[in-house]
Amino acid sequence: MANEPEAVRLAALEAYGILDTPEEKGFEEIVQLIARICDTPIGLVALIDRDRQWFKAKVGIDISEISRPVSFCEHGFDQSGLFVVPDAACDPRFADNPLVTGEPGVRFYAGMPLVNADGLRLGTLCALDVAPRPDGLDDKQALALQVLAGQVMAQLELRKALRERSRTERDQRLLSQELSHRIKNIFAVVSALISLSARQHPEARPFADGLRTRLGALARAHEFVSPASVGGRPASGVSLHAFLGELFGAYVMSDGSPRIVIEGDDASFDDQAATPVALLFHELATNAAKYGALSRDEGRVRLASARQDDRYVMVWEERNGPLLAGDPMRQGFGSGLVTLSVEGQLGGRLSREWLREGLRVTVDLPGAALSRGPAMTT
Amino acid sequence: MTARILIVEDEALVALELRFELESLGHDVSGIAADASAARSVVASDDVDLALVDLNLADGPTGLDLGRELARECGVAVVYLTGNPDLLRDEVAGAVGVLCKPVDEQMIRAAVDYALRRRTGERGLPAPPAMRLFA
Repeated sequence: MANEPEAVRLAALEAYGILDTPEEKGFEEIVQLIARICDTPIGLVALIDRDRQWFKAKVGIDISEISRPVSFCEHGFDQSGLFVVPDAACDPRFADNPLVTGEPGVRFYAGMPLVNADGLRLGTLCALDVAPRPDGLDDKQALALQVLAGQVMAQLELRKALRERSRTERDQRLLSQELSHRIKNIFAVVSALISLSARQHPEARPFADGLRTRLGALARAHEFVSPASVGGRPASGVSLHAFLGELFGAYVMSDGSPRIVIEGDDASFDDQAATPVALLFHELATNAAKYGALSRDEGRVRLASARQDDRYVMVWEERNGPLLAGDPMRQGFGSGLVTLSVEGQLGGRLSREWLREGLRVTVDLPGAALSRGPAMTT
Repeated sequence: MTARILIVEDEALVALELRFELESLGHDVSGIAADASAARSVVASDDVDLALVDLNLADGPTGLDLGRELARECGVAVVYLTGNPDLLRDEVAGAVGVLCKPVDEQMIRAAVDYALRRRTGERGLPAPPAMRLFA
């Protein structure tokens, strides 16, 4: 055998990642079956490594490998198919073989090569006996050896495919983590850039601070829906209530209990809804902190969400804040962002009621607005 | 409380902004280090009270071990600052906690104040917003 094809063959064998792996039921059962069918004490799945023959599965023999020059199966490689030695002691190719002259004293050998799709022979499925068998195998036994060798090869291919898939999945996970890291980094750099630029212009400071907190809300939402987040959250979306709990994390009372209480049916949201969801609730909360309920220590907000038929309705109600005297004269950019997020991006309806006891905002969304995937059950 | 603070951050703009914020809070910035060895040399030549340490630095993901080393061996209060808090699921013995980027001035002020007060032995302080504390 020329060197180069042997290197190719060894590389192909290596790609299965099978050498020196523990016993596997699928292979063990095949050698038990072939030994039973051929009525031999010994059955083997033998793989041919560089300078040894290693047994992936074995019955009737204790050793797990033999050196390659001693191997029977090697001779099989010169044949196209089934290879039978009725009595090794009388065969000049094997008469001096230590497996024949010593333990286990092999006399009969029948093997079928394990050939991959590229025609490379990786090893053999074989049945061995310590007694000679002048008649060799009958038709059924020969057929079984042929069919089961094909099954061994199929198992090897399946194993390899699974290995490759898990490697691909790992690569994708790494890529996704890297991407997520870069996105977050860009948010951090842009945020720093805004702040640094505003240092030259003190009058721009409030503008810059507002912009940075909006960016911060966006960054948090995208971090939350990132596929690289903790524990590989499902791709169909993540809990809206959990995200809002985090977004509102700064609005707590001195004992740590939340000032914005979230209740009702949860929903899942995904990366497509992350931006409008973050902007909507960031604006509502900062507005409440500036002018509404959260501008007073005793002020509270109740955010109640409910699934109603094919709609998902969220009601934001401010309480114990300053008493309101009707609709505000003028609406700011933040309020425009809220409308744009709900009606423009999420395809929902928004209504604001400036009740005397506090603002009430109703966000009425189509059931599928937040997530492309199946809706999360609560 | 004025402190000497080391910024370990490889993103120059982010580091610069942090520096301005810390200085406007009245602290001295001992230095800005983009990698672990630069951080060690700042700590060796200056009395650093507190280090704000990013996880991914110019020399790779070395921030975690660097923070542990600064906290344990150099007596520096360490607050991790990262956009990837998932990388820090386990607590780091000796470090104060982790702050999730992006951070604003209030988050920085509260976290720095907390870390410095804890360093002087104060206990039972309320946790700063957006910060996860280690035991």
